Amino acid sequence: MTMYRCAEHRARDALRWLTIVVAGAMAVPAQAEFTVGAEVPTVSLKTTDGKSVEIRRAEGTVTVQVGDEQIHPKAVVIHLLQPDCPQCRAQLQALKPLAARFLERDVVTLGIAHRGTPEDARALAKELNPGFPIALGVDSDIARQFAAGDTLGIADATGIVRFAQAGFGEGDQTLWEQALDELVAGKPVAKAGTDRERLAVGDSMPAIRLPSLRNDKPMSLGIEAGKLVFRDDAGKESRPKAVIFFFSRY
Amino acid sequence: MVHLQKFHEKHADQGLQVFVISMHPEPEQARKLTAELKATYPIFNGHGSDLGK
Repeated sequence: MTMYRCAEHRARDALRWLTIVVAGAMAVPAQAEFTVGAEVPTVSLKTTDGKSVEIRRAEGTVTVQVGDEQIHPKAVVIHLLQPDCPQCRAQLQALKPLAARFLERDVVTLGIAHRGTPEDARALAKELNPGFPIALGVDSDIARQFAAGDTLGIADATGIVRFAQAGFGEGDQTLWEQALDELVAGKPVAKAGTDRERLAVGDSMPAIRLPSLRNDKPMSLGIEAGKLVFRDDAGKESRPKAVIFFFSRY
Repeated sequence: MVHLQKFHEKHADQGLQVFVISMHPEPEQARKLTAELKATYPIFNGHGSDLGK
């Protein structure tokens, strides 16, 4: 992604203003992804087929219980997803063969539908048949914790998160496979996430030059002479004081 | 997106501009959804762009 890294103080002021606005609007602090090095969240939910599913960590060991079956896995993969989200569905399908292969190596995979309705989650499980449980997670603690995004986390046998990512991109499967291979072998995970670039507070606004979704005419947003400049799909130019830009899977 | 629309309506005259970059693999579906949600802020079609990588 092309980024302007020069010191654009006005744009930074705008981003700070934006941060205050967004922070004020959010009632509950929420994460966009798992934190590498943190304990895996405790989970106690029902699956789409009515079984209870639990993930808990005690005395340095992670335990997964699905129905009456209790497992101490070598790794746990947790995928928080929204049933009607195209990227989540693609990620679930990418995860399916890996989950089947690693199940034989004591790796447990769990999908958690943290948005949408139970019917959406059941329809997803029926349609895509991932081969691992999908839990109904709406309004749960883990849904509140990760309300800021759809994320995938991999924890080791001690229940510590060793790999985390937000979103999904082609090639991520290779990273999951590598992390799982390492965890099953009792080795440290060499690569704990993707290389996708992230914006942080203090970064300059990325230049965006893309067509309008509505009419395919070009639009642009960037910084010119220290000021934000937006050109809409009718060619009209404006200089906003601040912007909120949001990447949507829709 | 509903909340962003509210932000857009409330703060636009103060100089706040809301944008969405849609990464939906099928832009036609994204167009339908934004019409249903009555979103009036600018929406970039970012599918397939470098921004998604």
